[in-house]
Amino acid sequence: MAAITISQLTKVFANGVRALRDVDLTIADGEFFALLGPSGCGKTTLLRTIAGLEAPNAGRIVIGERDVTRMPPGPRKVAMVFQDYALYPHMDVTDNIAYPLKIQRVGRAARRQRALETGSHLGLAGMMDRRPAQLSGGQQQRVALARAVASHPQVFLFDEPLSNLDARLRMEARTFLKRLHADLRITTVYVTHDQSEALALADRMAVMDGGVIRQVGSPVEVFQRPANLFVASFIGSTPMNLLDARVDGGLVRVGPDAASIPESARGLVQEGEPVVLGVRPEYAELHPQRVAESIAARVVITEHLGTAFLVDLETAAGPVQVVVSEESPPDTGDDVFVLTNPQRSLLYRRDTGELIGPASSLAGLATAAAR
Amino acid sequence: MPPGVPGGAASAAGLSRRWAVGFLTPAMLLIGVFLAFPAIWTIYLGLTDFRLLGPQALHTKFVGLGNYQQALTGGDFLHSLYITVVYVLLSAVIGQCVFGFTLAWVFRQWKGPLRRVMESLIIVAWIVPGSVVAFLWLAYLQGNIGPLTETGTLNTILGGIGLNWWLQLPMLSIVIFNIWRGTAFSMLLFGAAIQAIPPSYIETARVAGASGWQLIRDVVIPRSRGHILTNLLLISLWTFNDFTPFLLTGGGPGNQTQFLPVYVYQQAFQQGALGYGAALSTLVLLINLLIALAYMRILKERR
Repeated sequence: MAAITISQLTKVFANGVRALRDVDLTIADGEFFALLGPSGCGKTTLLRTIAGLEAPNAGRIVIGERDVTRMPPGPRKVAMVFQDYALYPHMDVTDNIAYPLKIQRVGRAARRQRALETGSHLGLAGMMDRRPAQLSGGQQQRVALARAVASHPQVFLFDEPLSNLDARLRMEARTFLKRLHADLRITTVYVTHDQSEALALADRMAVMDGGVIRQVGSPVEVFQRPANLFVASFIGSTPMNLLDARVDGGLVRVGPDAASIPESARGLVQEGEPVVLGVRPEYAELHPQRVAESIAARVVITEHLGTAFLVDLETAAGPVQVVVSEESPPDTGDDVFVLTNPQRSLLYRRDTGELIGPASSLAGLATAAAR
Repeated sequence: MPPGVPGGAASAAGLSRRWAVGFLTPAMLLIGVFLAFPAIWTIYLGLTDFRLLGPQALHTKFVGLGNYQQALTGGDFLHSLYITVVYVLLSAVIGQCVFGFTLAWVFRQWKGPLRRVMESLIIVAWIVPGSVVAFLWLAYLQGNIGPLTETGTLNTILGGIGLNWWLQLPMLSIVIFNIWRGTAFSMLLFGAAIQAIPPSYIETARVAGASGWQLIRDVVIPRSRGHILTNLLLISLWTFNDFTPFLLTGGGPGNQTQFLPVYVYQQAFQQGALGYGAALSTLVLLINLLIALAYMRILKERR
């Protein structure tokens, strides 16, 4: 059990790639923390640097009370689960789970006992003397988890542990991981490029890009109030609409049309300021007639999503996507009007790309209520 | 019979048996003429007293297992067998294998030109013809001859010890020579084996706290088992049948480096006892077969 404090961490690879730039991050004891970002953003490098598999060029890593920056991986007391599980094909399940204990010089009987207990806890009781090749992908994944659990680490480090599973198993394994974490309460750092995993599993998460952390917060905060345009465009199963706009009176002008100013940005912008209006496709409405401040659009195509339709629109300010309920899909070629929800839409400064208004949604609601 | 395939049942590749036999015949003929026939002829010769010169060259007699009896009771053959086994164990199984593995493991972490230069130098030792390296090593380990001392390169470097390596330490010299000569193969093979180990296997062990030795014992060697055994099989056979020592010491001094191939050559072509030499060759063939079978048996065992 330990918190992780990372300060000013920089990693430059031999080929000159700066994978981490002055990263500061604190992960609380017992927290499930997700590192999310596109490939090459530095999330795996950060995880491997915490594990001790990469040496940072500058900065400090503290796990619990110990500065582990220059420590080899072993004494850091971390356990890592790799994407390919890294189970040893020449060992059976028991020996695989017990391998870290063997290195820790736990006696043979004791470590077999502990492997069996951990294995049973993770639903592997009947297959302790099988080889990894005789197990399904989901079972292999649980053996890898059991090996991490049995070593009683201070920290779990997961490197995309679910991405080798098929979609169905991945959902099961996700629930399984969440339950396991609720049981053990061991500090967990979880790297993924799949935002639905991060949003579903994490207590808090960091979104990374180009070796820099772009936002840290709870999944709700990150989803509802992305702190900058990068996070805004990265998070969300359908990407957020980002429209160039300009502040004009109590409105934001989008091309020839206008939309109401998002509530959280009111009073924080200057007249005429260039901004970017952010509207999630789920938080906009389509109307057949112009209602209040809305944006004229023409339907280009509609996609069926199951319980809803994703409507692709063309506006004077560029393409816009809106999700509508399954009852009322418009037809291709229809002229419609997009009405944004000022409580849910966001405003970004066009020059810096930063969110205007408070970072946390709760704080945002509080200011809105006070007004 | 499927249409368009004349004669016999079609194989998975769509070839009839007749076609398959047609393709195989040239290769089988070559193997028969240059491999199978000489081997059978050697076995036959080994049962006679055929000689290069003299009355037996004209009036060869069938002597049954006499040549084998002579070989197995005479002492010279058993002495040669013994020193050959020692030579194989020291220079190939221990020397080349262990040294090659060590080099492959060390070079694994090296990047850039230094590694390429080192690897190239080691590989050069392996690909240069035996007669050339034999000459180089003769010059390198040359000892004092007559009044001129310190003639060899190594003695010049060491200065003043005046050792005649080939005369005073012939076995050691040849073992070191063969390690130098053959390590490249083991290094390349083990390099490929280590490359093929997924990095996450090694990193899992490192995160668990495994030392370098534990990592090699628990992950690298079990994962390279096939490579190790194949390598041992090949280098054991190559070293067992290696004739280069003859170029270096001619089997001497005395019979201290009279390895089996050298002994066979001396008996058959220097002494002219072709029948006896053929019997010795058959024995060498049998020993090779035993070595190969032993390794392949271990290789087949499931682990």
